[in-house]
Amino acid sequence: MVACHLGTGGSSVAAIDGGISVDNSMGYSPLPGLMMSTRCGDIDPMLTIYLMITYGYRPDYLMDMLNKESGLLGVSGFSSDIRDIINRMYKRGEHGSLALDMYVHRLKKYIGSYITILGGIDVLVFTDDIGLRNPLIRQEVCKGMEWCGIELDKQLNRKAVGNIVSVLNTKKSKVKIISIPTAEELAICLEGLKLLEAQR
Amino acid sequence: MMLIFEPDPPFIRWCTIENGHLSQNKVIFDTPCLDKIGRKVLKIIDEKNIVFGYLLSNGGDQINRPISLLTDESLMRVGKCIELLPEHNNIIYKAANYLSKKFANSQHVLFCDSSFFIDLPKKASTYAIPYKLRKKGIRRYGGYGLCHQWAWEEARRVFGKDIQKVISVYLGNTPNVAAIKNGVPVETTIGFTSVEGIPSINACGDIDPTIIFQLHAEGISFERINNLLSKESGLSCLFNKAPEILRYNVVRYIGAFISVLEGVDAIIFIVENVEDTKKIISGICHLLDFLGFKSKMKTRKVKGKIILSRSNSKIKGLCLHYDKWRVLSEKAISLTGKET
Repeated sequence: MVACHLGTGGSSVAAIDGGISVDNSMGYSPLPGLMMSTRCGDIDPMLTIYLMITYGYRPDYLMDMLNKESGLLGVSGFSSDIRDIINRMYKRGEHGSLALDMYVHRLKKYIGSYITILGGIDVLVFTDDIGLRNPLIRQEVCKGMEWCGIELDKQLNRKAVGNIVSVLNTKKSKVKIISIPTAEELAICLEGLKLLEAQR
Repeated sequence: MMLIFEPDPPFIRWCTIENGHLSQNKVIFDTPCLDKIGRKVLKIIDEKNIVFGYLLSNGGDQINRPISLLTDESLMRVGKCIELLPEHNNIIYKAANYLSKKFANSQHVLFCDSSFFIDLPKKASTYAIPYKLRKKGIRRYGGYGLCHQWAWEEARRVFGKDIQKVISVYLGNTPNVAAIKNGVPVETTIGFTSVEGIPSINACGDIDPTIIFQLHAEGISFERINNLLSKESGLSCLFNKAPEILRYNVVRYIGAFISVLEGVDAIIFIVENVEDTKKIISGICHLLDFLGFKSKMKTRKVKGKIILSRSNSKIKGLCLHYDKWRVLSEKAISLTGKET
C-alpha cells in the first residue's frame, strides 16, 4: 500500500507492506520529501552550504527560509494554499502553474518509487485535507499510471470531496484507489486508551 | 590525433587517441604542469594535426551544447561557471585557456557534461525555494550528460526506433539515473551538485538538510561538514550493506522515473567494468520483474552490447560498457570532421 498524506501543513508519502512501514518521504525532520505548503521538500543538501558560503546567509535564516518560505509559497510567490494557486494559476508573470506542476510531479515520483520498491501495490490511499478534498490533484497524479495498474474513475473522483471514505478507481483498475478522512486525534485517543488499559 | 583533458582534483588527466589507440596520463595540476604538457605537445604538433578536447563537468546555464568548438566567448562562459564546481572547473578553465592560446592553429573542442540537461522541464529542474534564490541560477543541473545521451543513441541502435521512453542508469563511482523521452531528458538524479541523488562511493546522496544545521549546532564547521558529506561518506562507509543500499536507491529512482515517463520502453545500464557490476545489475533487474521486465540469467551479446531482457519482455534491457575517451573522440570527429 502507498498512502499519500497531503495536508495544508505537511505532506508525506508512506510505503506500507503488511501493515508495516517500509519507507517514508519525511526524514530526520519533516523537511524532506514532498513539496509542501511552505517547506521545500527534497533539495540538494549541499545547497545549504553553498548558499551560506557564497551569499553569507546565516544558518537560522536559511533554515527558516527552507521551512517557512519555500514550498508552494516559495514557488508561487503568493500563496501556500493549493486552492488559491489553482484559482490563480494562469496569471501571467506569476509562477502558480509551476508550483502546481512541481507539486504533482514530486508526488508522482514518490508514488512511482514506493510502488516499485514494494514490487506492486494493492491500494493507493489519499488522505488529509488536500488528499480528501482536491479531485484535481488526485486526477493529475493518477494520469498515466496504467504502467502499475492504477486507473482512476474521473466521475467518482470528481464527486469525492467530503469527509467520507470514497472509492475512486475504475472496475478494471488493478489497484484500489481510496480517499480516507484523517482521524489523527481519534487514533491518538485509541492508542492512549490501549496504553492505559494495559497498565491496569 | 586527439588530446582530451579532464579535471580530477588535484590532478589533471588527459588521454591521447591516435588511430584508435588510447593512452592515458595524469599529473598533479599546477601551472608548471601545463608548460610541461605544452612542451610535450610541441614535439608532435608539427608532424600531425591535433584536436584538443576539454571536459567540463558542470557548465551551469552558460554552456548549452554538449559538444562545441571552443571560442573566445565559450571560454569566457566557462570562466563564469568556475564557482559552480570550483576545483574541477578551475582546472579545466586554466587548461583550455592556456592550450587554446598556445596552440591557436589547432582545433579545440569543449565537451560539457551538464548541457544535455540544460532544458529539463521546469517542474524537474526547479527547487521549491523562493524566487530570490532561484534567480541566482540555483537549479538542478544534472551530470554525465554525454554518457546518457550516448546511451539513448545506443538504445535506439540496438532496439530500433520504437524505443521512445528510456531510463539510463550509470553505475560508476557516481551512480546516477536519467529519464529520456524521444531523445530529450525529462528528469535526472544529479542536482545542483553531484552529491544529490544516489549515494556515490564518497558522497552521501540524498540527505535531510536539517542534519547539516544540526551538525553545525553541535560545533562542526560548515567546511568540515562539506568534506564529511561529499568526500568521507557514501557507499565506502557502508561496508557489507553497500550493495543493498545502492540497489535500493537505484530501484527507487527507476520507479520514480517510470512514473514521470508514464511507462518505459528500455532500461539501459552503463558501466565501466562489466564483471564488477554484474551482480548489482541482476539484483536490480530481478526487482523490476513485476513490471514486465523479464531479465535472463545468461545474457547474449549483439554487436558488442549485452542484452539483458528476454525477447518476450515488455521492457527491453541493455548493458553498455562506457569507454568515455572513445565515445568523446568519436563525437569530436563528427564535429571537426578530422580523423584521429
